[in-house]
Amino acid sequence: MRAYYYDNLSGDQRLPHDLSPSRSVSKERLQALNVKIWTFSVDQYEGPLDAVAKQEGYTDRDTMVVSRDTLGAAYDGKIKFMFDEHLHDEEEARFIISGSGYYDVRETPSEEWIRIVFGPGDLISLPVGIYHRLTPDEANYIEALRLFRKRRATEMLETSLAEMAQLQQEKQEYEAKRDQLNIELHATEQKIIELQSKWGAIHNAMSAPVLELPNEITCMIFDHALVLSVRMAEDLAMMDAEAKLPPEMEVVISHVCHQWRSIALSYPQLWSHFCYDVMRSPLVPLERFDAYLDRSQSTGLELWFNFKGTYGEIEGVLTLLEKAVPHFARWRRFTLMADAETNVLSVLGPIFKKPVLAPMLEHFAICPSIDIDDQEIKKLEPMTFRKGAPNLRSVMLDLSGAVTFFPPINNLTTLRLEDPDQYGNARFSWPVFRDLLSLKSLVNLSIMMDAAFHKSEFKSDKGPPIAMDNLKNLRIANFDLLVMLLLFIRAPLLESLTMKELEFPRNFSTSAPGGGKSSNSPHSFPSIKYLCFINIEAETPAARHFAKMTPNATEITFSNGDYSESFFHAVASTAGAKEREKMWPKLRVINFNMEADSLDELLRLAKGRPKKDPITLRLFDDVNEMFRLGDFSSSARYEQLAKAYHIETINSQRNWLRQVRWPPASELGDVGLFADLCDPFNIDDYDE
Amino acid sequence: MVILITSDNVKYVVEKDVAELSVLVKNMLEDIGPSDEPIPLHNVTSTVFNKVLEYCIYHRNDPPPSDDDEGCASPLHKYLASHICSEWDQRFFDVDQALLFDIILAANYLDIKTLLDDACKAVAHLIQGKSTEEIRGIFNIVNDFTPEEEARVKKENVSS
Repeated sequence: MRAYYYDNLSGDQRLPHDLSPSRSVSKERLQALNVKIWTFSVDQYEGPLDAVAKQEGYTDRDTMVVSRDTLGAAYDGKIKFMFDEHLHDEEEARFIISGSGYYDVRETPSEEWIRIVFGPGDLISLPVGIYHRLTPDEANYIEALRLFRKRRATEMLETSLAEMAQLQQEKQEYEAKRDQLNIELHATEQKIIELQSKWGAIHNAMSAPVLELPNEITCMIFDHALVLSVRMAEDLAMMDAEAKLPPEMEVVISHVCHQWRSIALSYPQLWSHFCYDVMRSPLVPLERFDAYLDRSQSTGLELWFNFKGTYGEIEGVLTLLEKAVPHFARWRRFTLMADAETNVLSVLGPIFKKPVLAPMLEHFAICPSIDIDDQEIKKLEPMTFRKGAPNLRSVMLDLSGAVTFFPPINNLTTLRLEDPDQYGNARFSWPVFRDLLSLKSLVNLSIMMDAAFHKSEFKSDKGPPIAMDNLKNLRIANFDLLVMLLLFIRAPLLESLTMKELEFPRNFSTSAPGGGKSSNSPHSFPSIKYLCFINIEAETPAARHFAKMTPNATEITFSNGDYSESFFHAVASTAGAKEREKMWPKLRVINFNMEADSLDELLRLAKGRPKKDPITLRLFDDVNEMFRLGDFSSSARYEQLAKAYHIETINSQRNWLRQVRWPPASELGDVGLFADLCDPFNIDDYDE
Repeated sequence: MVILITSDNVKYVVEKDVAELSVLVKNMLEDIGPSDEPIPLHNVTSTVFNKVLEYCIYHRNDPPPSDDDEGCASPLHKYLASHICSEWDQRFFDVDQALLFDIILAANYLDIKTLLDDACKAVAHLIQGKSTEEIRGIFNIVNDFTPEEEARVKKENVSS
């Protein structure tokens, strides 16, 4: 081992860089710099090295090799890096196993480089904080043991804990600062709102003339706006059942400004109708409903709940219903649709156990689709509102609604017993159904139920005809005996008759009530102007017989999926022209919605009618195109059709046939807010 | 013929059936009996009265409005009772807001129910289907909610 002052000349770091003459540095000088050097025999170094390591506290070691062979192309970069002057915060101790090189250490305070030459067997230890650098000599090889002191675990733990405490404290300081800022931010925001409020009040008083209108007039404007927005929502929903509807007008109005909010909140009628359709918004608006119930004070409520399609939200919708129930005394209109899974009976049951009065109720629609047992309704006693519902005019029930919630019907004008997806097998006993039909006040009746009443009881009825003196609109569907019912009833004022999914029984033209024989001139419905056949099958004798019963019809809708069995086919294939002319001599309009494979029958039906004033034939626009251009009719045939009829087209995009508003011209149907709910009697465009 | 004088001293000679569409005028005529005295209309200027008169002349033969369920009509009743505005009415009410509000105030003062109703409907048409912000824009209203109201409104917006 030898040490000398570096010559400070540029050139390869691996050269000796010894001055000439050389200025050596003594071992004592190095010791003064805390540089320690030991030299052991290369052959037997383990023992002495271990002893020194123990004495110095070098508990760990590893091997490092710096050579062109091991480092390859990285060698030059590596030795350049090692030769950069640097220092460490722990001792650097190296035992050279083989190879040789130089350690340069910076002498203080002279700032001169001292070069230490090392070779195999040398152990060199540099103190903490000394500037140094390292390089192999021109042999380009160093293999060395690196010796370390392992820091004690407790020492490390203490350091870490201290550091964590420090960080934690800093964090807490910032959190406190943030909380303080938040308080300030909130206070600032409040102040801004306050100032905006004061500024806005002056601005509004000065420059918003609408706010100068008297409150009662503002309320009138709110009323109209509400009605218009419902109408708009209805239009939107009609065009597209999935359309996003605008937010409720009453809510929007109450969010405009202080004055409008005050007026709106103290105008109970604005909050008296509430509509919730689970399909449109899965989030059940419980809080909003609370606000409505509160703000509507004591005014009559109009509630529409459609829970059909409630999956996973059953609890929410039942809570909504629970909130509505205690207010039954101010229900004015109540509509509830639900699936069997939503057990509405659990919520509604308790209030109907007690005999209660519904003084304001005008419209009651309840279609809960509850699973019901096979049973028969044997009396018409109300099961709900047993103390009465003196204003109840309109009722709609599905089968389970009829079995479970039958309301008082003394003053009823509109009754809908409609269950298009019927599951249960319950029915009315025939005498009870007869009583229902005999209800004097009835103006509108709609029945869509499989096996609505007891069949054999009906067939053996030998009583007098059923007088339905005030009936104006009748719809029947899904139960063929309802067709036979037409022979039983006398309804001198009946104006419109709609039939859907029915087959005229074969003996329709030859039967009479009580099993008797029909005469050739059956009783008629002299006031019927409008007839609608939706998927009605009949044979010719039945169709002719029916035409005799409805001699004054002016408009007829034929809508059938299957042409060959259809009522229309039965009519048009009547043999004699004279016979056909006698059918509905006053006919002015035919709405035709069928996949006719020939125009012959339409042409035949027009034959013999006055040419000057042809029947109007309304077709869907696409069906009309098909007739005009289709394979099955030549253009000549279409020309003939256009001559025989006055053809009008219906926009199939905006199918007015679908917009069933029933009863017509009535204020009691479920129109408006639930317009997008399909009426079970609606008519599809068959070309869709 | 009835003589009416507006607040700015313009004199109108109006046929009796037209003038009597105003319940105020009708009652006054009944009170004073047959007379040639002009009737002063203190709260109506001639600018506004011109419009009112135009409306009354056009609608002089309309059937009188029914008072059946006045005050208690539910939204749905109103919905069904509401008719679509005629084209004439639409054009008639296509005026600036200031005049529209003056017409409303005049109709209210003169007690002409159909004009009041139609004019209110015309205002309602302006806000139909609009958002809160849009409505503020239409009427030059700004937000003046107190902090408590603002908090409630925010909450209602989230829950609705």
